[in-house]
Amino acid sequence: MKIERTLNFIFVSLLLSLMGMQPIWSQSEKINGVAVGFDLSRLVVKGFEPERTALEVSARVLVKPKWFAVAEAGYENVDFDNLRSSEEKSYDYASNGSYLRVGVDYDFFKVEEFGNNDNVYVGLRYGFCLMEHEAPGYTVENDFWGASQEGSIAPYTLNVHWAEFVFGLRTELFRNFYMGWSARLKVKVVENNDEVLSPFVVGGYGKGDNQLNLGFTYSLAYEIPYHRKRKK
Amino acid sequence: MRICLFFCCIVGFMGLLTLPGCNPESICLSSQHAVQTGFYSSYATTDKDTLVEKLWVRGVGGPDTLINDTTSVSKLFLPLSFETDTTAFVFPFVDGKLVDTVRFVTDKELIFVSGECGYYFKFHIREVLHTKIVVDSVAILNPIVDYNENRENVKFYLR
Repeated sequence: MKIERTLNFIFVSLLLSLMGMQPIWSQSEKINGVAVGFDLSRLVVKGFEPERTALEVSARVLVKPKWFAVAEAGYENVDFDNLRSSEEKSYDYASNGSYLRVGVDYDFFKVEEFGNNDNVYVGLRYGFCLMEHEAPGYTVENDFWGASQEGSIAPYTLNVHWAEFVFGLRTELFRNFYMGWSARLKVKVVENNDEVLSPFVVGGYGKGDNQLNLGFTYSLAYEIPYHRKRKK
Repeated sequence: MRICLFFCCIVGFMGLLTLPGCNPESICLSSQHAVQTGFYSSYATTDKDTLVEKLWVRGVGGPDTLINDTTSVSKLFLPLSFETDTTAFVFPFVDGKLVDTVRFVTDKELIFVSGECGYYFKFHIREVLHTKIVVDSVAILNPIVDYNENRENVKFYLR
């Protein structure tokens, strides 16, 4: 019965929010819930680097005052099979990988307005990516002797682990709809890879060559409320 | 306070649009499989660069002349072959009257440089064989011919 009531509550909240109406609670209530988000920056990267295709979703929940547990999951594929023929690259490459980042955010935004769920936060993440990649063909040019060497690296699986330091903020656009961005410093911890091929991009981490990467997310999120606290 | 945060989020969105600019592409080097050699006098008690005049160098089995220099040189880059483990060059000194042949015996190893630059071969010089007309002796200083390393691999001591 309790589950049914909760689902009904979520559905009505979502519907009213989409209609731009005031929900059943008022501004004098503080809402806690699960924030489910979508990272727009992955789409922008695709616009500038067409060989990369990525998608990322996230979930965040308040575990204790000021502290949030966060999980971010996604996938990223890279494919530049046709750049060797146009001499833009000296090798063909394809990869597909899934990743998960888990961690915590600490909100240090001091707000006196009750019902305001905006945040300015710092956080930590542990990231893990499992991916398969291959170089279907490569060429090493020899300008003087003329005979270039060609070869290929067969598909194989590897995994990469990293840590992230996060700074970000988010603000409410509409009732329960948030937008926000985060800047991240990513440090590669382990790459289990014995073959002569580094990942061009590690999903969720960035350029596979780099030991350090800077990252950026720009998210839209909907907070599914499951608990409301009335102002006393 | 909320307006301020809203403004910050919009600024962040602007930053998002400039995101690809944060990843400058690395510069890829070419012809990184060449042995760096220097010419020295075999008569000097300490190593001293020797200028070789009007040098031209030809790769044995190579398509053309590697160098046909009317000026003087004291250093040369000798590209190694990918197909064989021995790469030979002919050095006609003194207008071609005195000819030496130098052979580099090498192992090669495939290396992945970076996502932008792809593959190249790293070479290990095992041995340098040579005739002794003008070339008195050869010393291998750094046997590894590696990507983006500017160091002399071999010294030629000339009579």
